[in-house]
Amino acid sequence: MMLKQAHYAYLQTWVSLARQRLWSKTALLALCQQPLAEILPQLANQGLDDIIAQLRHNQLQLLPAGNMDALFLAVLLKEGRSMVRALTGEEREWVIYWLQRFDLQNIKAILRGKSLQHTREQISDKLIPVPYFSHLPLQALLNAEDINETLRQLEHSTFATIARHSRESFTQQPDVFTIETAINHQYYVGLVKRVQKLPTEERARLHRLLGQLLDPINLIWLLRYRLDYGLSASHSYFLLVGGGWQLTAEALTRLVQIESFAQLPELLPPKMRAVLANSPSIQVCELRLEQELMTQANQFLRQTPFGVGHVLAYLLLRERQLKHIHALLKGKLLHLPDEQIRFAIGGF
Amino acid sequence: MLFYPQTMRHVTLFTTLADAPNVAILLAKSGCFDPHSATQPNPQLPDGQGENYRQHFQQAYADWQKIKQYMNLDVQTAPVHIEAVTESQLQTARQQLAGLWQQCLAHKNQQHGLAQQLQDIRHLFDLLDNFQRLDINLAVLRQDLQFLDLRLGLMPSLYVKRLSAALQIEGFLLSVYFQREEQAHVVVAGLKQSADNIHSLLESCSFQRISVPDEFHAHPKTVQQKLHIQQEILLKQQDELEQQRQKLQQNHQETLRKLGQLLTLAKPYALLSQTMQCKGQLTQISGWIPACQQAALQQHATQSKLPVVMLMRAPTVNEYRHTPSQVLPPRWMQPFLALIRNYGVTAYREFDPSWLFSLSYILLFGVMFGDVGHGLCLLAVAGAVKRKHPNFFSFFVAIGLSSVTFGFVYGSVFAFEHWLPALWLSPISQPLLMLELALAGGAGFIVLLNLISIYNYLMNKQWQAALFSATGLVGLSLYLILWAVLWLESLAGGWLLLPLGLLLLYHGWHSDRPWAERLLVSVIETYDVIIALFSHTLSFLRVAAFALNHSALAIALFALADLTDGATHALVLVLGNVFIVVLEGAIVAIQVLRLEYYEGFSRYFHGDGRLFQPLRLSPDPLTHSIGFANHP
Repeated sequence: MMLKQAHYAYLQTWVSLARQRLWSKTALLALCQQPLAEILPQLANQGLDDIIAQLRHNQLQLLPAGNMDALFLAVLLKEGRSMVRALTGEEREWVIYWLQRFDLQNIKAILRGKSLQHTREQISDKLIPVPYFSHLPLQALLNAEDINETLRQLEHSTFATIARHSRESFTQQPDVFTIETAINHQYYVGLVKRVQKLPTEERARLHRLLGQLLDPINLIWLLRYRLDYGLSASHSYFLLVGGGWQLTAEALTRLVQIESFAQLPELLPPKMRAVLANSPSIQVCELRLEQELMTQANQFLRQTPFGVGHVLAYLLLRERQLKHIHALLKGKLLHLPDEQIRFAIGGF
Repeated sequence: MLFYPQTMRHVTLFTTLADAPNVAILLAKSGCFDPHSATQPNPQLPDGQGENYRQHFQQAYADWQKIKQYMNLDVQTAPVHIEAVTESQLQTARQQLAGLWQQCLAHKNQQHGLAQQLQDIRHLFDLLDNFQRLDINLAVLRQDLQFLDLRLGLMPSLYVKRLSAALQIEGFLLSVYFQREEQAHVVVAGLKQSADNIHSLLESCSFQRISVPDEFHAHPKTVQQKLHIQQEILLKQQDELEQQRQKLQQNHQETLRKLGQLLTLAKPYALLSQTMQCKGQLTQISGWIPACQQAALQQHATQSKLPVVMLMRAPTVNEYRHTPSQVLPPRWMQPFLALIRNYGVTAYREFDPSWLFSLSYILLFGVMFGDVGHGLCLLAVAGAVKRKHPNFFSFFVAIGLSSVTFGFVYGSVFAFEHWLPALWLSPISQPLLMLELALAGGAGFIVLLNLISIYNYLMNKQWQAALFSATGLVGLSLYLILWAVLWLESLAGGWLLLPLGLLLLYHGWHSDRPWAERLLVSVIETYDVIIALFSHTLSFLRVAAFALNHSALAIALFALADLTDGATHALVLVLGNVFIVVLEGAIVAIQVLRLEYYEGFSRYFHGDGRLFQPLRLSPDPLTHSIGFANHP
């Protein structure tokens, strides 16, 4: 027990120091007004030395999009690795599972490639390296003949459960949408299940943040299933993940009855209705919910006693910040108007 | 006689067509005549005979075998009165057997039908198992109801809670009535008008609909009772049918015995007729007999007073490949002979490897697996298999004794190397010496095999190959000179040029390609000979390697056992020894076989001979297949 506390002491210090890297939204939006040459020195304490060096080395020329994504992901996962080292037991497993979700993007890219009968090389070009945490048998997946074989190969990896369920769904409805839905769904079901294995105290602390994380996911999925893909209310409900904070089972049962986007405000719980007031589209809803999640994560970092939830909160905030910096740099490199860049980083 | 197959004589036998069946019986009784089509057909006797006889025999024999198998008959078919079977007798027998087989077939079909019905009932019982927990009339589930959509299904238990909540949105209810492992048996019910909304939902959670069979038209318990009654009726019918079969067997046992004897007597002529050449009444029969049986066969023919003229001669060189070979190794060598047959059949005028193979196998096994205790275990295995698998008995005795002998030589008992003083040394104490001896032994073995190969060439009058081939005199010289140059360093390398040059010329001479290609092929083949000589010699290092491996495994075993104490220590030692005997024993047996096949047989044994298969008055299944005469 002492050992665990000692680990936590280190982790707490690490997170406290790392939090200083997190900028407020105002500070980030202020950067949009500045030219790229002035922005780069301000990124010095962001752990982005490699990216800055590459940008300078290439004399601010555009890096290929995939390379840029990979560089930012590597920064996040490197920090994730530092935190994971300080964790043990189920907490460690849980954080690793969270960081492994980047593998899902690669799985989906491979499955999409297989369905479009792309060559091994074409698919390979679309993959993003996931350093430290990837457990994908990439070569076996790339060499697989079709989607079925790919999923069978995946059954030999840490994503066995996800693969098995996805394969069952694919057998029933052979299309990529079904698999991707099943993969997303199973991943979050797995995440919730793993929380159940955490010590009671941790579980209680994490319950709210996890619920707040699942709420936007469920709501966006629900709106898309019902309004974009035209799934029935019951089917849409079945594809959601239980364990939300505001969107409880009861709230979701009500929400799945939605027939048009205009009905949304009246079906939402009061707090969420306020956040999404006057949202014109699902995309704006998504951005606002994400912003709200970040606010909650920030509050969690400041107000809750230290635990594994802090790692999640930090990772959520850090991931979003890196995404915003990525968007900022990309926008500047592409000479996009400042307004467009501001929108991309949530300054609507 | 010890090292090559029995000397054979080609027999040409002239008789009349009418007496041919009796001659066939005479030859079968003698048990030493292997019929074979004449290597040079006699143009004066162009006709074949006995086509109808063969067809009757084939059909009758096939029916008899099927009846025997169906009735599980064990009848004595050795003939009491030995006399030839006429075509009309055989035809009658064929008709009798065909009629009998039709009766058996009718029974068999009925039995199959009943078995199928019983299987269907068992399947229904399994299906009913799914509905047992439902306390309703199953007929309801089969009806197309006006307002209610009712379906039964199987789905992963994992999804039940979520699906139930999702179905409630559409006004449907889900109830689990049975749960087995990770699968739940559920009933889903709701208004028919909303049924379309739940299709995709049910599909996405792997819901498998269970359809209710026609037989299920009452409460599960009532259905079960009815199925039991049906099952009992069918079982009773099955018993009756079995009694009928037994009665049929009793009624026809004597007939079948007589028919079996008749077929035994008909078989020789059916087989022989394929090889006969005729013109009018004059019939020629050809085949082979062991030279030592010539006088006996002549005597049989004279005593039978049949009109037979018999001409015998030694096979010509061109006939060697058609001449059957008969080897007569001692009884204990039978399992080793089976291993040789696995590779091929000794050709006529080819060195018979039985003795060399058996003795070298036993010796090499002992060298590689020398341990008194483990050898005794193999002897115990021999005792255990003696009754059930008598063929393996002598094999295990031989390798067991060899292992015991070399166990004394190495001083090893159940991996303990300090219980017995070694008569020579423990392999692990002198590994380099062991490797050197293995290499020298392998070289000696290869020289011996080359000498045998030269003998084979000479026996077959292949003079060029005997002198110049890679397994001939030149190949042997090359090998010996290589040893003298590389190992003993007693000769200059220049000596190698002579055999290499001769080999190149020999390979080039035998090729029918253009000159440039011939040169290339010749160089590659000669290079291959040198590589093979090296690799085959080095391959014998495995003999020492396995002897060392045996000691090394023992050391590992004791190291493992020393980590424990008391009963566990003893258990580790016992299990370790079992592991050594089973696994290492099997590996050594395979490795020795590999040495014999690849390094041994590839040098001198072609195995492309034809087995001597004499006609016999035997009730056994056909040793000769009909149509054998076309085989070379």
